[in-house]
Amino acid sequence: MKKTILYVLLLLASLTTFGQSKFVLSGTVTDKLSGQPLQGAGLFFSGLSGGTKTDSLGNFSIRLPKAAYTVTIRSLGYQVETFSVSLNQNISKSVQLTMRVGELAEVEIRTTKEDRNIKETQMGVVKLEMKNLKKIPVVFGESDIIKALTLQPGITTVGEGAGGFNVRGGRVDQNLVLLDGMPIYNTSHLLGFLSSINSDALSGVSLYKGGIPAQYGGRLSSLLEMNTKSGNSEKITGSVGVGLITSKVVLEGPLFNKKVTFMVAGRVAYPNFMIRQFPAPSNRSKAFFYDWNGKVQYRLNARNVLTLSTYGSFDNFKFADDTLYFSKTQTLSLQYSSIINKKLSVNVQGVYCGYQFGTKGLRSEYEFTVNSGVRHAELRAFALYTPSEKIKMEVGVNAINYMVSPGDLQPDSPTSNIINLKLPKEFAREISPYVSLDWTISPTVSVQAGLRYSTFQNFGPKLVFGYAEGQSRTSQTIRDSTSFTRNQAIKNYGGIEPRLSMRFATTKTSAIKLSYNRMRQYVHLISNTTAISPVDFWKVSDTHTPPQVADQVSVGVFKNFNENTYETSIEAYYKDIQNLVEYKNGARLFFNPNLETELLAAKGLAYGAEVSIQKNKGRLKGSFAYTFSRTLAQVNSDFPTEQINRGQWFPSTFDKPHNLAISVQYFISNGWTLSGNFVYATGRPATYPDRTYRLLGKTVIDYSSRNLDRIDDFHRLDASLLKDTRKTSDQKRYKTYAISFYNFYGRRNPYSVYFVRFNSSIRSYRLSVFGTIIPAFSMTYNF
Amino acid sequence: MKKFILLPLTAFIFLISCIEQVELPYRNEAPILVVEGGITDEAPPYTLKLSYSGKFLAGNTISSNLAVNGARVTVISDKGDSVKFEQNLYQAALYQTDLSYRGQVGRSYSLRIEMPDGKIYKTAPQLMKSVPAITNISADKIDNFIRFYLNTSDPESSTDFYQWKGYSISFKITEAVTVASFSSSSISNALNSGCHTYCWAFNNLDVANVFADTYINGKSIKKRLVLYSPIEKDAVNSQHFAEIKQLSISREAYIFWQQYEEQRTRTGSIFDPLPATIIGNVVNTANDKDFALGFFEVSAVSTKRFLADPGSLIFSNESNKDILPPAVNTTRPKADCDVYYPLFGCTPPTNWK
Repeated sequence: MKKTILYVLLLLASLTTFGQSKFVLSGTVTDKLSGQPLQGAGLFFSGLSGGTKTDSLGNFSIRLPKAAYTVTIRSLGYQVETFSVSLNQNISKSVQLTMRVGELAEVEIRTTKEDRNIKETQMGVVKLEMKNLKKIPVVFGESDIIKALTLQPGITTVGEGAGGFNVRGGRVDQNLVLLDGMPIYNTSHLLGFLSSINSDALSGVSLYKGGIPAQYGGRLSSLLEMNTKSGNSEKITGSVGVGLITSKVVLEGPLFNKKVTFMVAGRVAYPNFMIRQFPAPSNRSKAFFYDWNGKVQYRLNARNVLTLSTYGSFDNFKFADDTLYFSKTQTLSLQYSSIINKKLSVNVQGVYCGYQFGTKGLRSEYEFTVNSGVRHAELRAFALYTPSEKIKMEVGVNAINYMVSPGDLQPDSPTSNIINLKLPKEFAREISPYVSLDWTISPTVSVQAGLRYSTFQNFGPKLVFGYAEGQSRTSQTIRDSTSFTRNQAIKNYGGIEPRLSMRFATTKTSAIKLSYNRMRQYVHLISNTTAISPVDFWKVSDTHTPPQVADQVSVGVFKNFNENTYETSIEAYYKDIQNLVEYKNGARLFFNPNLETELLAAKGLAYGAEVSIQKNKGRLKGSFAYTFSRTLAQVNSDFPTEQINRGQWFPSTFDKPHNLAISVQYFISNGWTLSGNFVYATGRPATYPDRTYRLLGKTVIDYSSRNLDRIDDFHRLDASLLKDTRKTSDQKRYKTYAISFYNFYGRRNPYSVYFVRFNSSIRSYRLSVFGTIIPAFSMTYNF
Repeated sequence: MKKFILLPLTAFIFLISCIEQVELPYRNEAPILVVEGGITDEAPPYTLKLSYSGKFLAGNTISSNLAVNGARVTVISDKGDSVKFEQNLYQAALYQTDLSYRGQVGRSYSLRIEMPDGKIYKTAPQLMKSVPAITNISADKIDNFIRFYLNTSDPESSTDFYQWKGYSISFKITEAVTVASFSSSSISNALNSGCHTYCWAFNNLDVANVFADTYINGKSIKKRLVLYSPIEKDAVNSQHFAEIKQLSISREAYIFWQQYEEQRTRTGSIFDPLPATIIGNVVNTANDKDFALGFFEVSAVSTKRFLADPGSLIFSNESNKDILPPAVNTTRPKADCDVYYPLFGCTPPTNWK
């Protein structure tokens, strides 16, 4: 492997020209007001067709023939800046851009380049504009990353109030969620009603649905990359927000001669006063959560940056009398970035993530606490080599150490009848070197190719059961057991994961793109309910649970109109999945020491087409997203208890073929914005009864065919009105107000349909989660 | 345990949700065999009900058109002896053994059913595990019900699964009789008037009350709610005669009955398990995709009786745990008591111990 990487490096190096008459122009582009580095600012040079753009730290570097140039710098939302330069030696130049005050007095900041959808090789990427996020009406008035993402094509959830999100027919646990590179194992607060990341702390959000770069792996369906603000390098600023159920604060600024910048954010919830409005006994429930973000960036010098990031969240949910759920996430990351020379930079990051969750039983004589958790320690190192503006290449490695505690049950009082029970911990490591190449072959053709070699090892201590061949795996068919000692290898998995994206520009404003990727997933969320629940737990692959493997191909056509005012695209994908984790009918998952006897390996299939139109400029902005998609699974075996639907293909719980999302923001005047969402989706699959039988003198319903029926279609309109008190873009102190109405026309969208017998007949009921209009008000003060 | 933990979650969903009754089309699949019953170490006869699954409005009782007629049913033990279940010609779907064959703890039994069309369904050998005795039974009262509880000690050396069954016999009144206050003279009046307006009838438990010792192995099972007996509102102090049975069951039977209960208590919440066929232990030997519904149970049984005098019971504010109360009649039935209720007799049981 090492040899291959070296060889590729050498090959690439030889492709570069080393002419004597070329010099390097490098530097940094920052925001004049905040001093924040500007990512994706474009630099264009008189007399040249190409250009370059800044990286995530606002740095640029380009090697050009000796000449005099007029350099134009563009970044969306900023005034265009130009300067002249005589390039007869290597020159370093810092540029500050001034934010543009639009004629509408509305501040537009796009963290992304306006025609990136055409110019970048990547496809299947959703980038959220943080400033726009606040304008999207949401439930309880809480700006929510995941709810905003579900307005994008190909991203759905099982239903309202369900935690997590589904990308292109993938499950909730198949999304790699990274916050400043730190993995987030639980993205929900309040059992799924809100997402666990405070959007005020974020500077950018990107979701990769396909063509996932080789840098990332370990999850099948998507990569959600969130970055927190780096901290204003000029002065201390911040904001305080007050809403119906939460309040939040963000503070950022420079320290010690501007060498250090910091950002801290916190959010605390007080949903209890709302819960008290509900009828008894529900009003005795209590909930509480908080989360925080922190980041400190230390610029040792122009070339070396040290970044410390941390995130934490805490949730508590107590039901009427006797059960309390809790969860806690704590993450920490230390990252060192160094620009070694104009062509080479290196980056090393150490990450720790602790996720703990559990239940407390408060019933007298049965008091208990169950604790479960995941400990994830990761080291990431990569070198970025940019021999020319046309070639960017990256070599790196990720090494992860997992420790999973499936469950530890403890009695909470001396009189409790609950016994102490502990399931053995699971240990594993995942080491994945990769190499990735971004190559602009010609102005019309570019390639992003990568190879990732992922390896996984489950290691001891552990007792592994062997099961009799040719029989259904149950606790009765255990044939033998093997004891593995500490650090002893139990089972290895792994393989090559090719990644490829290609772009063919058909005109200046249109492109065709192709991508292929293979992904492997070694950690699985064990959950047999419709939506993820607080007792779901994680499990690493082992002797009996092979990794999930997905292959995805996608193709897309991208076209912009009216100088990038309208961005349109059509993308189609096809995904084939092996070893999806499924469960036997009626599987007992919780505290099962022989969990493998309840798990089945399923085949998965997902395909779809996504149409997207976005309008990014003008008084009226918005997006239109339509998706047609299917997602299916199959479980077959020789034993009835190991089949689902007698071995036939069946739709997944989140298979919703038609999805439409329209989101519109209309700027009225004087800082007033009116915005609305409309969403429509085919009802999700459900299992209706298909026969009844009699047992214990009662009618029992039989559900022999999983997910072959559907609940009613879903549609909803939300609206909000916002007021921003700013008169100019550089006004430092201002307020924003938002009034929002979720589910404007109060539709009782079905979440589920269920059946109960009533005397001798069967009655069906429909449950709606938000069965009424939900108004909310929030206010933010910025300083 | 998971149910124990997840049940309260559904409450939260109700906070902001709403539920409405809807009409939905049903699919009707081909009928399949349903097996109910088994053998125990109690005195024979043992019974099995063999029926076919039916359409949606087929009712709670097995009507003759759903009964399996002419099946050949045998139970074979691990020692090679066997007993036939003969069809009872007077009650639809019922098959029973003679009085000479008795189940024994520690032996395994397998069921073989030869259907009239020649298909053969079998179970793997099912072990009859021993069961501890019921330590004691207690009772309290709430609005509308007397609640019965049991205590028992779980043996530490084994993994045990329990099922509790039970019934009570209580006084009932039907239409046209009002008794302002219940007294011994009015009981004799009732008797004099025959058994049409007053009677003593069975209250059967229709829930599958099962339990695993996973989280309490070797400790006591304390105050386990096992039976509700409805209070007759115009005779609140009449006695309740309860009989509770504690059964040892297999892990498969435990899982089967848990699923049965899960299905009954479905609320449509996001934390409900996905609905699925409840697969029992009776399969077609020739086709693994063909299995019977229901379960063939092999259990040891310990029994205890309890006589509850409502007047001497404490009124409790504790909520109902583990099993839910049955539906209550809010209006007095307009029918003869001995027809409307499963009749015990016109007089209460005697020598109840």
